[in-house]
Amino acid sequence: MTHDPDDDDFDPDDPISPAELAHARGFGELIDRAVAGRGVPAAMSADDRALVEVATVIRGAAGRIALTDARAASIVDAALLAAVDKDRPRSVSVPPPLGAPSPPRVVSIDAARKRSLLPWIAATVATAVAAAAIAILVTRPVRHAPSPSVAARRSADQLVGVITRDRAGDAAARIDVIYADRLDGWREQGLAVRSGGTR
Amino acid sequence: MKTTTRWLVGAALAGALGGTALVSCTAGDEDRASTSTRLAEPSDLAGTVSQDLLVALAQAKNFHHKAKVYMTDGNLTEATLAVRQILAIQFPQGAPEAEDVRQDARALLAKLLVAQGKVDEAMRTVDEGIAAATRDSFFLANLHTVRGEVFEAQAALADDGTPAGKANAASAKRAAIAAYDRSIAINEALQKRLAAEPK
Repeated sequence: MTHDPDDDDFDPDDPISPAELAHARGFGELIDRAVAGRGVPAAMSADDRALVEVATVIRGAAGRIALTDARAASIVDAALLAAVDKDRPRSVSVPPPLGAPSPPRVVSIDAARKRSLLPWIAATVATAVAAAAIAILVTRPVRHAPSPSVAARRSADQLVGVITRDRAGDAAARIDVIYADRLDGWREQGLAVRSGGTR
Repeated sequence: MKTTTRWLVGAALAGALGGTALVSCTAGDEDRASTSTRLAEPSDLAGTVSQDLLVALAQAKNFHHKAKVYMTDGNLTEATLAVRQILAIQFPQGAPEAEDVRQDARALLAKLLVAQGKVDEAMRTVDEGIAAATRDSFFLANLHTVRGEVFEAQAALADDGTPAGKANAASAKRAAIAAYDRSIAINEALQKRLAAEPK
């Protein structure tokens, strides 16, 4: 049980209860963390948070905040760099000390502006390429695929040769020869088409 | 507009146009199968075999064999009808086989008509075929040969023992010789031309 100072029954001379002792120890650890720069927990009671802020202010006012050697060196280096390179004062960033979380990088306005144009440049280039592809597709000449059987197809004269008088009426035999040759050519065409015309 | 949003808009625009170009190219590939790389009909690309040509040749082949069966059976009337049907077959426009097949059918038809004593009709059949010829071929030469046979048949019919009959027969025989000579001339010229062509 804790003692409330605003309570009418509160007596400063009362002995410290175990709960009050535990609370004091916990608060002491909280102050130690704040002073050491290790941060404070996100969830705290409003009273504890107010007390921690007061303790931090008192410690700062006492001038007891000291930079680590690495942090101090990086700040000095950044200041010297800014003095030497006056053209890029806005892009100079103070490097964080080793082991500390890196702060957000500071980017110059020019660089940021250029970076913001990149998507539009990429989109423009892609559009130009696509437009060129479409233009080529539309304007390219239509090519007829060469027939694979052109060379193989012979005229009926070449197939039957001279027709002798004794075979003058044997048209059935000649039509058989012509039909067989054309059927062969038809099948070759089909095979050539199925194999992509690579014959 | 935030940089991320710009990137998204740019990427979407580029993706859309790139996709359009890709789809167009893919569609173009498919189109080429039906337009650019389509198999030309004989009317616009000599040397290929169309399905229509095969069908026409198959019909002619069947009519010839049908006529042959009738001939072996002695039924010259039905054989003549079967051969006449070959002349009515529709071939693809510009197919050189059409002229060859029809000339061969006319040659057989004329012989059948002569065998039935229809010499004048046989002569008309042959003459129509010769008049419709657009080029020299072994089939045209054969038609001239059959024309000579028809003239011989006329000569035989004309020689009735009278002086006028003998004169008509002699005239028909001279016409037959002229027809045979024409056939020989066509065959020789064609053989020389084919021999000169690259194999």
